[in-house]
Amino acid sequence: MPSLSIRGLSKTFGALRAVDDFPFDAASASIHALVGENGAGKSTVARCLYGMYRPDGGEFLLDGKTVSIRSPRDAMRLGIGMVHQHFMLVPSLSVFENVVLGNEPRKGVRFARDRALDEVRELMDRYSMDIDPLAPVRTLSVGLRQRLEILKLLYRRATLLVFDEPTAVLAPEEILGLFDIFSTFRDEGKTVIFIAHNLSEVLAVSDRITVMRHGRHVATMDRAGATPDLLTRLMVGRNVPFPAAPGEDALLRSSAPVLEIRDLGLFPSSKEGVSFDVRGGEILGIAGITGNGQKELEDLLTGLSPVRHGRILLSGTDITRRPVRERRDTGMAFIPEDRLRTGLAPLAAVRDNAILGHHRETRFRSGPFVRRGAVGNFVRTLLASYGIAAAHDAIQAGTLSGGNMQRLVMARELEHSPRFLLAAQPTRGVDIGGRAAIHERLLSLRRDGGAILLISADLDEILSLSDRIAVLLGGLFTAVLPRSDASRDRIGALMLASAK
Amino acid sequence: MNRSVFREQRDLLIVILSFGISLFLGALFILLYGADPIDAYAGMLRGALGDRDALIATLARAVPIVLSTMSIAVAFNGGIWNIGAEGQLFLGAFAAAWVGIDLKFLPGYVLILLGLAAAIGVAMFWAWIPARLSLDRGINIVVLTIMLNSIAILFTTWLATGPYAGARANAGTTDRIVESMRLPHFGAFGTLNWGVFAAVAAVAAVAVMMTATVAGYEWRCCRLNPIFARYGGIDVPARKMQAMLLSGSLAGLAGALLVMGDHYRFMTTISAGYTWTGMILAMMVANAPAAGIAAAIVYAVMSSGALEMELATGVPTELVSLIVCCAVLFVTAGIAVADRLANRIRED
Amino acid sequence: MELVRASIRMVTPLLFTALGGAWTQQTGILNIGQEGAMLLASFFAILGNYLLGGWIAGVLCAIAASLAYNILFGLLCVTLRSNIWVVGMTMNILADDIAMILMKFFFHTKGGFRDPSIVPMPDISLPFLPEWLNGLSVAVWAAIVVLVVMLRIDRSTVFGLRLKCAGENEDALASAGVSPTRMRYVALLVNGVLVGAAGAYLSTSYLVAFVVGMSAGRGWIAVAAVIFGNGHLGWTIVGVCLFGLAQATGIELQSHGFSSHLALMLPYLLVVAVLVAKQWRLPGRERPGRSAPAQGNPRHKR
Repeated sequence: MPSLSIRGLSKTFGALRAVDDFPFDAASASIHALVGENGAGKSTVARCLYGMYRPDGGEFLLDGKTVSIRSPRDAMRLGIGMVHQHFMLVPSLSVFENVVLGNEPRKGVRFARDRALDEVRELMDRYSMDIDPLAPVRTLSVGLRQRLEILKLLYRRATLLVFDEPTAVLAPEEILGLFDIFSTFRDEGKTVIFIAHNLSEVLAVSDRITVMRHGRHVATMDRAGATPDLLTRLMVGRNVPFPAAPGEDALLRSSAPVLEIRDLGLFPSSKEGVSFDVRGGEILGIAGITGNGQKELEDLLTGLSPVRHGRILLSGTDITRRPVRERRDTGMAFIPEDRLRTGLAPLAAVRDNAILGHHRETRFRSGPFVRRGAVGNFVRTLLASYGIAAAHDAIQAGTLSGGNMQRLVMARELEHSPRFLLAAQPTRGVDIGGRAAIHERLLSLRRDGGAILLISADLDEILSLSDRIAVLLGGLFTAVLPRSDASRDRIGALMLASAK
Repeated sequence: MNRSVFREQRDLLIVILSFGISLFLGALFILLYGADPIDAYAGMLRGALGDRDALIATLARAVPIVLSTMSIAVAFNGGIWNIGAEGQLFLGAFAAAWVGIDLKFLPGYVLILLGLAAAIGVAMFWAWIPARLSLDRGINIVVLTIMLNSIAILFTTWLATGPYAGARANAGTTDRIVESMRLPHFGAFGTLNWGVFAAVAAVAAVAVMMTATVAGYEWRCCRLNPIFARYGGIDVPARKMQAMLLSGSLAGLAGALLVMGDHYRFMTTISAGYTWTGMILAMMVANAPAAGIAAAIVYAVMSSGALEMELATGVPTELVSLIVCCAVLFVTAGIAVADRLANRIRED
Repeated sequence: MELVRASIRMVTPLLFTALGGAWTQQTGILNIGQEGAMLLASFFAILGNYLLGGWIAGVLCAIAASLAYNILFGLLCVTLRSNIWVVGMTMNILADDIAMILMKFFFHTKGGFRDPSIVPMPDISLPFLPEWLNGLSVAVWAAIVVLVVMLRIDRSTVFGLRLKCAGENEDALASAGVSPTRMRYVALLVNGVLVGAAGAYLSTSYLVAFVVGMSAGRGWIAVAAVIFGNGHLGWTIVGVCLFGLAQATGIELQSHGFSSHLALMLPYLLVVAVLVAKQWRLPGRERPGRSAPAQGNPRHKR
């Protein structure tokens, strides 16, 4: 049974050292957690191990023998399997076809469908998984899709199993089920590498824990020696300066709601909707497991998808059917979750990116013409005041670092003192320093009386910034709590509460 | 560190290098014909610029090519693939001819204005159909516009060989338009005419729109990232439609000028594939208006002189188009390779 | 019956081309270079036939030319991931130019070329066939064989399964250890062979001559059929048959005194009508079927 050693792994993307001289040792028949913040380089390590990235340096040893992994095929041959963050499934094919893909049983040149089906059924029986092997994958729930991914590894007889952030898409009982499967694997002598950033999950299931930060190895310890505090400090590198708890200064809060949502159906098929207000000087945090309507809420508020059910009011005016431009003109601003696809045009110049949404205002426009000088001055000021490191306002936005791109989006959306700001995952992929700066900006907009809706998968961010917290599950709120009533455990429980 | 400035220079360098390599490839074909490439290229230049008449002929040739290039560039720059400019040009040309044949009782200046308006209007309509279908229904606009090209060309061919076949003309040409509608030629040779001013004005206006106006900014956003454009409050379908209509109107204008200025009649061979040429030129310079105009003029020079080259060496005029096509492919490949080398494609 | 025979002749080149195109479409590449490939193949079929003497040599030359053409398309669009429209449109025009330049060189003419020494593809007549099926070109039968074989491969082989995966989720295929790039090249090569056969059929069987622009939009009609079928072979064939029938009807109408130009518009009008009909219920801006959270797609976390 395999034990894995990684020696001196390095991988750079352009100027970014994603993984830097990283060592790692996992014993056989164990569950080894690899933890670190977003962007610490965990996934990059996993992808190098699975042959999806060609490392710049370093070597892999299985049971003490150096192995060469140049492609997923090599990795599979060595018994390495990986469950990716986003699933590697072909939606229109059936379950069993997905399982056998790449190692299909054949009869001559033909695909031996019956044999494949039998083999998959047998495997499902052995691990008591109950999935219809003939169902098309697109009809499966996220939890079942993950089971299917695991089944793929088992079919390929993988003995070293890598799970890249497997819990992010799962409901609570599904997470427990997954951990049971981990334990089974350990008992069978397999090695499980569990990549995560949720410490309670890590502490619940792992035997050993390795911490990464900025692409480097920080520490490796046994479960027994680990505490949440210690791990947090190691992941972050210092004590986390939580921003001053906002909370009770109700004076700041204007009584009139800025944004009113009435029975807004998040999914096209939703029969019921969510209702809530966001007042000036208030941050309403939306917590919940990814995929429960956060993205849909974002698109509905921005105006990218049409409202099918319910109403949206801004300062008492119904804007349900208003196009994006009118929404922006009335003082709404949006920091979208997906910065590269929605928030920026990576191929366009920084300058063009910095004025979007305001490009029709008279300060940037005279008649039909763009006021080049005014735009140039504005953009230079913006870059300086938000500390965006761009060599020139004509370079392509896509060449900026992730943090700078994020700041560029923030700068554009905040510069016009919006009445309402939607901030979706505002610090995803941003380092600690950048995160603190972004939080400070959000709090300062709140002090100035802006209404903020904060959607975040990071529970700590929600807890430290929000005045009130709503928990989203299946497109509905399971609760809306004032911050004083909220605790990590309580929100966690509400996030995981099974709706049915 | 000025990476983008660097990038623009780099891309310009790639275009120039590609063009150079393509000229070299063209030289191989010339060698195949047993001619001396330097002689052939020199003959090309002489044929295009050698004397005043040649120069006038070259300029006349440049008019439809520049219009076509801008027509394609404005559409592609707005993120809408108008491959239908050829059909739009044919219909526009026929509309102008129809005005000059069936409405000849009107005074001359009315005819000229009406001819331009009819050509542009019909061409815009022919651009509007596929744009509407594509924007509203998601039908592939390239296939649609190609089909509409065939339909428009067959339809005008039917008109020119059937109901409007000229009484004393060769097959596939209509009667000449009324004299008062004809734009006078400059000089006795060549077909350069007053239409060149209309073309210059239209091209300049569109070039300014693309580079210096809010509309141009919004087109750029639509092309570079439509989701981003929508998120920024840009009405993407409306902008794309605008680009498409503008594209159609330039194609229609080209058609009208060919009828009213060059041939004084509609004929089924009225376009020497001008919009296809315009398309490869626009793609070669990535829809940049100034570079597009420059490239179109270079092309006009080459193709105008190519006839002389063909007479002297036997190398067909298609060599010019071949050189430009190769250049487009080299540019495309060159930019892809350069991007990859610069590791600009983020893997994560 | 004449209409059926005419349709069969019209469908044959479309079928070759669209079947290959359907496979490349399955792998996620819409091959829009078909028109140029077909024209180039027609030319090389005549060239090979004339220079080497024999229709098989012509077919082989045609296939070699369209293979080279498709490999270039693959290099640019698959390996370098350039824009398929830019590359495809340029290559279509390039094919025209190359054919023209080589035609002038070899045949000293720029309009068209025919020569008694060109050997047409044989027609097949067998005693047991009904009369209306006799005397059709060998290429027609080849097309039918290709159709059957490709349907079998598509439905029941590992290769057919993987083709679809390359288009639907290339990462899934790559993580299963199969290179999607390789699948795309294989599809493009198959497409190249088939479009080569289609071109050869046009110039050495349908006509026995090369005429400028003789592909006459057939490549595009095949692309339309591929889009209509969206990678599904059955629907692609339906599209091909419809369009082929329209072409044959157009020609039939001509012989009944209808204006030839109006009659020739028929297939193009039909393509537009079919594409519109297919998409009419489906608004382009927002498509239905986004799944609810319980069966939600895993969100991409990039």
